[in-house]
Amino acid sequence: MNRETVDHEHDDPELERRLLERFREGDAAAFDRIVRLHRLAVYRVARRILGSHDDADEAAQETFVRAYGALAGFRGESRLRTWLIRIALNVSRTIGAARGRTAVLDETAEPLDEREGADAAAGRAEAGARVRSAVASLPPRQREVVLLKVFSDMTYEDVASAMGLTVGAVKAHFHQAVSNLRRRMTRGTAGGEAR
Amino acid sequence: MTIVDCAEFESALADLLAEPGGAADDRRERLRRHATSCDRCRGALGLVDLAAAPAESRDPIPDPGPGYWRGFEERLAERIAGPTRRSSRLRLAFWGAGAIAVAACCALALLVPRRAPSGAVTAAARPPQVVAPSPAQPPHPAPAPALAKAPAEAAGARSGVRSATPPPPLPVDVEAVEEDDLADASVLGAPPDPFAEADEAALFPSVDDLSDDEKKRFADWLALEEERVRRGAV
Repeated sequence: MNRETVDHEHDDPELERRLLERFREGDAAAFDRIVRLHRLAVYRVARRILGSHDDADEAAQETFVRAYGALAGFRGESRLRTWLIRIALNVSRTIGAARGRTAVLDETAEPLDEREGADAAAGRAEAGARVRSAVASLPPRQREVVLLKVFSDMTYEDVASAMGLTVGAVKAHFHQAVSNLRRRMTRGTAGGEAR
Repeated sequence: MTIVDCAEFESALADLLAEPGGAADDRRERLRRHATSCDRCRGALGLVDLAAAPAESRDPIPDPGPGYWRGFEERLAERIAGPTRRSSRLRLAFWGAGAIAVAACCALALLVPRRAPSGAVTAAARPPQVVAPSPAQPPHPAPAPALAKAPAEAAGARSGVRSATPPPPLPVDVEAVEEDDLADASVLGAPPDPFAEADEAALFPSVDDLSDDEKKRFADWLALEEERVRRGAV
């Protein structure tokens, strides 16, 4: 399990409202608390898009620097976490474009389940690597939708808000992405479809 | 119920992947059965497994750990504080330059009355200089504008004062000038010496006679000049 230790808190709208209020009143500690609540989610989104720890670190830093400058004007039209992820997406796209590459989940290891045998773990790791490779080959929008929907466990509404799209568009991207993933993963296996 | 259609498989797979917390066993088994028996979908077994996994284990990215986060927060605090410190320094430099400019203006204001006696008129109000042409040498029809106007305009532009004084007519016909006369450039209608006593009032009009806008422009110019001098540009 690599979920945030403060998992239960980042979904607390009341806490979010209080922290924003304190921040607007000039309480610097409120921003520190916001960072602690959402830093892992922001880091993970950046790392999924950029692929490396160093790039994700840079993106997460930049995300919070920008958030600090804009937080006073945050109107609460979406959840704070969604807003931060939207910034992280934009920053990651910019960094990815500057680096001239996008790599998805390519340097991360599958979490091991101690209960399963070595063969099963190896098979699962291989299947996971094939999924990651297929996700990395998707068009950018579809890739981001899959990363946020499947790996970040966000709702369609939150993904739409984070990406600046409508819910319908997100669903369409998602279904198209799954279709592409199926085809791409099948193409790489013996006896797969030839198209 | 068995999935027989690849499109149905795709749709069910998308629904399951979108569900937080993984798929129910029976739905996952139906997907798995189709994938293992269908050449077109076999490669997607990894996606079926992914859909079956609980949300928290779908994400293979580990938490970098408390040591990393401590450093992260320290660097973030530095970055956030950085621009504030920089802007403080900029503000200080700005007000410092402003203070220098104001001091320079005051010094100038003290100097001007001594150079221009009371009752001195501004450049705008001064009558044009009239140089009587020699009877033997008819006045030059038209002075070269750039040559004649340059100093006055430059002085006006720098000081923010527009001089209404027309350029002085050339005192002599250039063609009639003897070679020896070239030693004295003024006879060719060369621009008057800007530091000549007669033009001091035009060059250094009394600050009291300037409008607010002119005073502001003059102060701005002075600040720029100070800055250029400070940087060694002049």
